[in-house]
Amino acid sequence: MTVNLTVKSIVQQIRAGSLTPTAVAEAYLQRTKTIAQKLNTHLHLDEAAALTEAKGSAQRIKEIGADRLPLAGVPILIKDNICVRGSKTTCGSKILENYVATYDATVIKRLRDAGAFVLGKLNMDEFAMGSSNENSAFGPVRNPWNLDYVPGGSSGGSAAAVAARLAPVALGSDTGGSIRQPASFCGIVGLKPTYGTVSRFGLVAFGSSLDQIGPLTCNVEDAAMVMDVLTGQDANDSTSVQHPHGGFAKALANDSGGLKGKTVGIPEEFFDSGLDPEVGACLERAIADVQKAGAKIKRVRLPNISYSVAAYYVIATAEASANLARFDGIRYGYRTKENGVSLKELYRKTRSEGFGQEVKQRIMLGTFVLSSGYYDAFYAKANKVRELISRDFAAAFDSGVDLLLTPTSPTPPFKLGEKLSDPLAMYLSDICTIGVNLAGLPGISVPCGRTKSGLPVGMQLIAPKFNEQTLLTGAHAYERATEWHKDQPAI
Amino acid sequence: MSRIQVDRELVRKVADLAQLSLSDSEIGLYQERLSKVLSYVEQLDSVHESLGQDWRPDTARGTLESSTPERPDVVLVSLPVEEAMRQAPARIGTAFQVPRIIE
Amino acid sequence: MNAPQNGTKTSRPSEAPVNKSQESTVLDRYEPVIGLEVHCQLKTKTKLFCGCSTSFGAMPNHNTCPICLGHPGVLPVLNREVVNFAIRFALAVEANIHETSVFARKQYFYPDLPKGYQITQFDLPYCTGGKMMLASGKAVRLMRAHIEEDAGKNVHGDESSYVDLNRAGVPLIEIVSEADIRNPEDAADYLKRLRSLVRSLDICDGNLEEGSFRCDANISIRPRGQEKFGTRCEIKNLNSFRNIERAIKYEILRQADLLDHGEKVLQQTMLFDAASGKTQAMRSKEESHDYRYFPEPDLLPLRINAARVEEQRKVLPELPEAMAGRFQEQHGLSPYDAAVLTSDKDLANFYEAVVKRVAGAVTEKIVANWVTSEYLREANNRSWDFINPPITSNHLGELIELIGKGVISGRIAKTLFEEMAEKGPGNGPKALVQEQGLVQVSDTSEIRNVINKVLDDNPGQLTEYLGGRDKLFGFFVGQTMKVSGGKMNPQLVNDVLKELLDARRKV
Repeated sequence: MTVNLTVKSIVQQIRAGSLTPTAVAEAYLQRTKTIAQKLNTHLHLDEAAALTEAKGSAQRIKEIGADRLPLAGVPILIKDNICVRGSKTTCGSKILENYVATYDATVIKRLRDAGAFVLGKLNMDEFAMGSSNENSAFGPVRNPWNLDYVPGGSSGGSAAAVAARLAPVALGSDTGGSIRQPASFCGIVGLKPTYGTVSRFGLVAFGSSLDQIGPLTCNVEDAAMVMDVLTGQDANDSTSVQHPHGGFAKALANDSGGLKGKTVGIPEEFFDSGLDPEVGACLERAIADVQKAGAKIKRVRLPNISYSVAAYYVIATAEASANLARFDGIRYGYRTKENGVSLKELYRKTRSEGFGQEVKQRIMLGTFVLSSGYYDAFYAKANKVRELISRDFAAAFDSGVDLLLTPTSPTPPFKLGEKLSDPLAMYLSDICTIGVNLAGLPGISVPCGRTKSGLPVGMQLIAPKFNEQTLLTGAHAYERATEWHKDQPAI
Repeated sequence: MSRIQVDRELVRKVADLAQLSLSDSEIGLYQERLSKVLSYVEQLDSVHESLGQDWRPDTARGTLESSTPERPDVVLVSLPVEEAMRQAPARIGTAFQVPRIIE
Repeated sequence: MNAPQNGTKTSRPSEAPVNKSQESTVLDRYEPVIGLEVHCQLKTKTKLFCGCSTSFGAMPNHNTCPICLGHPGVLPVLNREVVNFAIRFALAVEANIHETSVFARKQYFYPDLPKGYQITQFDLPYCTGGKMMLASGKAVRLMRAHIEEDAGKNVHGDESSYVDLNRAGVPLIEIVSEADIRNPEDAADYLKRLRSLVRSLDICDGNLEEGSFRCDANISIRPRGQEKFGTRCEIKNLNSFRNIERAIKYEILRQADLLDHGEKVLQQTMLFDAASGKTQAMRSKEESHDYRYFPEPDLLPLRINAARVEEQRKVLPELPEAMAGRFQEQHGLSPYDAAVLTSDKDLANFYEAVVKRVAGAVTEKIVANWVTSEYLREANNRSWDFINPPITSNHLGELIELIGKGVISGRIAKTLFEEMAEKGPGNGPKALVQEQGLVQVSDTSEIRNVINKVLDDNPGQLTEYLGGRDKLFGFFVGQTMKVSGGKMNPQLVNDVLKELLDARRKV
């Protein structure tokens, strides 16, 4: 059974009275029951809870009126590192296997206030650490285009679910590419907002100076509609800022120019010999399409971008090592079952048993780079390199470029198990997306083709800070000109 | 390999700091993996940055005009103690229980 | 009771005896170098980074929320009032307030530290420098002060420990002095004055027993004349001014003893055992923590501009030093009395209330005398506080006014005061004086009669006095007082006695 709805069409039909939130929920839940298990997208699928949420949405519509609710009746799947009060929030980890969130993330409040409702919680790489969703304590997620392949990560569940039409939109989180890369692997749209424009309150922290929550959708317009609701300064998040623009959906609807007259920069460094030839071919065609749509192409350089993965893995793991120190089995979460342990053993057994391998590795790396004697060489240095990378991006934009265009991933989706043995191989698959997080810029991935074996390839557009508008209109124009977004996996 | 000697001793020391206990084989595994990653990360050394004496990553955040946001000193309703304790793996009364801390 | 001691040293039998001569030779040979760290809990209504109440004495974990419990996904937001209080402190000690300061994570694992890190300030604290003046006139330089969050509390049972996170997240300022202090008495004085200061500023309760004012001492010694500093030890959590002095004294001797025997002083963290009077190294093996400080990514830098500092300067209350100066200048008090009175905000307020009530019937000096001797003695012995004592400023004022108006003598007043202290104020001094018939005799003719009788009854002494033994004047005063039951106006007695003696001379 297919569900051919989008965020936009749901809102329209809710407002027209031809759909109710419960009907929408039921349709998606029905489809989920037959498919989710194959993909392993869902953690704790709670039908009753979902229907209660749908009723809540209906109630709000009744009280406020669907016309005043920008996401009236829209069901949303939530990555399991975002707190939904009363619901399990596991972060894909054994150490939070049974943890129930005690408060709602700000984004959840905003979505519900806008008439949307929570449909379920999604699988992910443990604590958002991974690029393939193979690091979950609850089993890997599979790519709906080919079950032997990874959906990308860490928001693998989010991307696979949306691609498989188990919801019109899912929330993911992006620290080094975790929304964009899985969006690209699953042939859908994924947007990482400018750092600070979407509240992180309620997002279980991984890399605090890099994390952002963002939408994964089937098309650009839907992403704009959800962004309208997600963005906004939050008193609970000291790093959040008021987006100076907003009104993304409206601006998109009113935009007539699209890519006409825009200058799109192509950073040389992303198109070198390291690029998979199939990805290269798709991107070549995409660049041509972008030109056809009226944009001017300009070659630019980001001289320090090759250091981005190194800088990222110092900064993100350092912050993560501190963020994950709270998981100690004392106040909540998993505690070792062994009896008669000393305090030290309690800490060590709990954490060693509760965390997976990748998480432990990154905690140790982060601990090391902050440790006495190494701070200057690693953490301090990485932050300086980060500033250089930010300035590179700024310089590129200053040279008259409106958008940068790159592949989202240097490779197409890979097979489950393919990259597990070599830590670097996995880390390097983030090379196109990581710099965007380091610089705090907004970035979007849109589908731009497929490999010969039918696997999706994504293109990334990057805009200056607070320029989601340009990002969205550019992506929208490309989407209209090419229609890759209309394809669905056959699942 | 890495210029920093990632030996078993270092792995053990870092695991200790992070309150992780590793089996002997795990130490070997992480030694290998961390060594690889660290070796890659060490390339940061070769970056020549000309950001100037005064630029510091910690003070460069936000803007000169805006300070970290502040909230008024007004009491908000706390979590009911039942909620606070509900998921405690071990408790006595309304206190979290841990093995005897030796000072 | 936190009234100042008058420098008398009492030695209780149960303490480790300090051999006075041992102590003095040690101090001849070694110079103590002492630095002090104080953690002051700021008395804001809510915690540093969340809206939980800071009220003391709540049942365990009743003042907690996801933020201070360290639940996943929470973020800190700074309490405005904490910054205001911190600025006031910096102004009061004339520290240099930095326009930009940065919060940092200090990482270690301990059950009372819910996040596994403490948010504090490291590289860039909000103020550096400043000074505290001691009674001796010496200035102790401050190194820095910074804002940080408190940890929770662990209570230890036999097999388990219990964690209460009510205190986790309570705001602190940590005040670090330079190692300028050279003796234990100055250390105690510094801490008393610091405590008095933060209480005057109304930013901290200064309650050592409750833990709102926690003192750690860093002590090293060096042979006199040597420039190089010795190895220092830190003594943590000294919970009374008495124990601070005792601990520092013991530690000096301990270190001297080691050096005298050619041994090295190890850098250790010590705890003071009040029962034995000795410092002992803490048992924890991990002496050197690697705190892995890094800037707190969830907060932006704290920027304090000149306008904000001025705002806070305007609301500063009168500080102890200024008040002491005012007492000296306007009330004519001695520096000593001024210092004693201003060592505690509440005592100073009490004194001023008494002055007001007395309304000029006697000089402020006399009031000060009463407060610092009679009143303080009783307050000390009976553990009165100065905010709601059983004998109020009104009572004391009334009593002193009676002296000023000549209704009772000073001596009678003292006796009456002691009685009121013991039995309660009853209906007040005026009423008590009436009830007990203590009104002093000021009738000159009656006085004359009594004195004449005294002179007549003591012919021998009279002759001696007239012969030149002036000292016997006091004898006659004493006799007069005895006969009159002390109820005669002493000034009048003096005057009349003089007059009558002179008259007899002429005879």
